[in-house]
Amino acid sequence: MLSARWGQSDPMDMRWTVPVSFRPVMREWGAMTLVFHPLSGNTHFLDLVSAHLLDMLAVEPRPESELFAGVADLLELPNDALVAERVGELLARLDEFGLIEQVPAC
Amino acid sequence: LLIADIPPAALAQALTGPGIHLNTGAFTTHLRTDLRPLVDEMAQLYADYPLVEPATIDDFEIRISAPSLLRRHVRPQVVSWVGGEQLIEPLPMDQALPCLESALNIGVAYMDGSPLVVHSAVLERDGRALVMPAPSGSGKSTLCAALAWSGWRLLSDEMAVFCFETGRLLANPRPVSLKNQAVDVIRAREPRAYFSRFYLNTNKGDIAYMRAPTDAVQRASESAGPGLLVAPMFRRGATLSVREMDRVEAFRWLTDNAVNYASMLQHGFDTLADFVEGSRAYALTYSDLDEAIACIGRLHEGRSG
Repeated sequence: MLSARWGQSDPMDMRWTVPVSFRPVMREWGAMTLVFHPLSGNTHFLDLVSAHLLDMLAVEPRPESELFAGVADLLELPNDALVAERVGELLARLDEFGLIEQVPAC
Repeated sequence: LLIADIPPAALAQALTGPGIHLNTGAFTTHLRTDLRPLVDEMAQLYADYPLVEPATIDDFEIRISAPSLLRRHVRPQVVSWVGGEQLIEPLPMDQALPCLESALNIGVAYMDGSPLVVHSAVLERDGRALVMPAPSGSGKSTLCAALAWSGWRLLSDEMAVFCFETGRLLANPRPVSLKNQAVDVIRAREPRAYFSRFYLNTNKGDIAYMRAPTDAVQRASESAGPGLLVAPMFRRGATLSVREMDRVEAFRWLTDNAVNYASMLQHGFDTLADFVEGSRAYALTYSDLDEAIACIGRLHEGRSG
């Protein structure tokens, strides 16, 4: 679970964000978005939901609850545990790619 | 001044001494060798190529020679030095020309400030590029050679060279390596085609080199804009089939065949993404060269394959 990686921090105090050290370079091609990570040099192929999450986080840091709601809105689904679980997986993958990171809320 | 204008003895003397500055379109190579058989073979395949003045800045430097005095005489071998470094294993002396061709490819891909290079055949018509990235065994070179004598201008059989500044494909027309049957096929189709002798047991098998058409060499300073990406696949007995690729698949074809994409960082990403956005992409399976050439012509004109 994501909260386990947050250690002692209260999940409510954490935000996901795009690292300030770079801005991902993106090309939207239909249902897929290409993202180039300027620091790693890797190119990633993101589906609609992952790209939407990255878009949201490129604007400002956000708590998971906002991301769950944003994805539920996008997919016109109820904002329930299923959405939370899937979004959690996608955030973990974006984190693994180095495209997003967690920061304490100000 | 063309290679063909230089008497063989003078060419050999120049190559043994200060070297020559060989222009193959987008690149100029400072080339030296003391292997006379290589000089003679090179003089045939590169007869139409211009030499440039020594004052010109070379893109890279190649020297082809025996690795040692001993290896000139005992199980003779040949090696290439690209920019002073020996980057590929020694080859039998009989493969001096394939050794030179490999060195010319390596020079482009790894020179200082190298452009983005994708392993691909590239041709041009009406200013637009036909890029055919494909792995070995796909029939790419045979199709490329046939197209080069069918109204398409050869930019390269081996590498798509992308200019970062313009996104255009640079021309680097050089001899096309073909296997046994492909040589017979092209020779039967095009009497003007000149072929080298066969080189046996190279890393590509038994191959001969087809001289690039003269027109391609004379127009080697002309680049080409985005146009078509075709991933060819020769399959004996197959009915011609064409499938349009989406942009993601086309991009993957390019990056999967890229030589130095990872080191190009954002320049590489932007260049390939721009090319894909400016082109249409297809997977082509064929068994008949004439059908494939006609199909590519239709795709070039914007019609369905």
